[in-house]
Amino acid sequence: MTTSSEPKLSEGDRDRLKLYHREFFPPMAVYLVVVFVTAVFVGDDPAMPRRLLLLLPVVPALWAMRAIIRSLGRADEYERLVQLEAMAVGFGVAMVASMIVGFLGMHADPNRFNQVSPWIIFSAAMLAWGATVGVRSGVRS
Amino acid sequence: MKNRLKVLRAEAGLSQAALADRLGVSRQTVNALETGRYDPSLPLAFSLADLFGLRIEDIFEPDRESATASSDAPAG
Repeated sequence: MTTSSEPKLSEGDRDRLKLYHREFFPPMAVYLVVVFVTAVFVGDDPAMPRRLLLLLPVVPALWAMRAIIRSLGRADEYERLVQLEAMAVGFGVAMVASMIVGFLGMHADPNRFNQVSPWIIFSAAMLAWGATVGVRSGVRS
Repeated sequence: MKNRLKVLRAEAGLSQAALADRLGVSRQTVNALETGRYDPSLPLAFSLADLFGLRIEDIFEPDRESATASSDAPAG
């Protein structure tokens, strides 16, 4: 345990965190704008090829993913271990959530259910990933 | 493994954050090492030994109970 006067982050931690924020938040800002713009201007159920415009938010999402991967590259050996465990838990939860959604989807209205089911899986996996990182690192140090 | 990191760090007058910066790791990693939640890789153990001017075995020692238990376990 650390004493209360001891800083939670070292100089190196702060530098890495600042760099991560600089790389992560711009793509997330673009993502929000693109999601809004496509929702407003593309509309519901457009025909092809206009429908492809709905994929535009994937571009800034990939840009944000690049920031996460670069951050992992800068992480030390313990942080990588924690992230690997958290991703493994997230993957497992995504598998179980997929099964649950799959079984529930067999008897649901397919149109309504297909709209929400990917987001249930996404949210469950992200929550599990974040919670595992929190338990393995933040809470106990 | 057990280790004397916390004592050595205190004797050197270093905070966890200062030690982390000298080792090029996060403060969280130093905390995990000190509390025995994480055993370092050989390169990191050598860095620690260099920093304190000691040998690796002067800082780390095997946890005899778990080492004995694993050596007593039947093979295969």
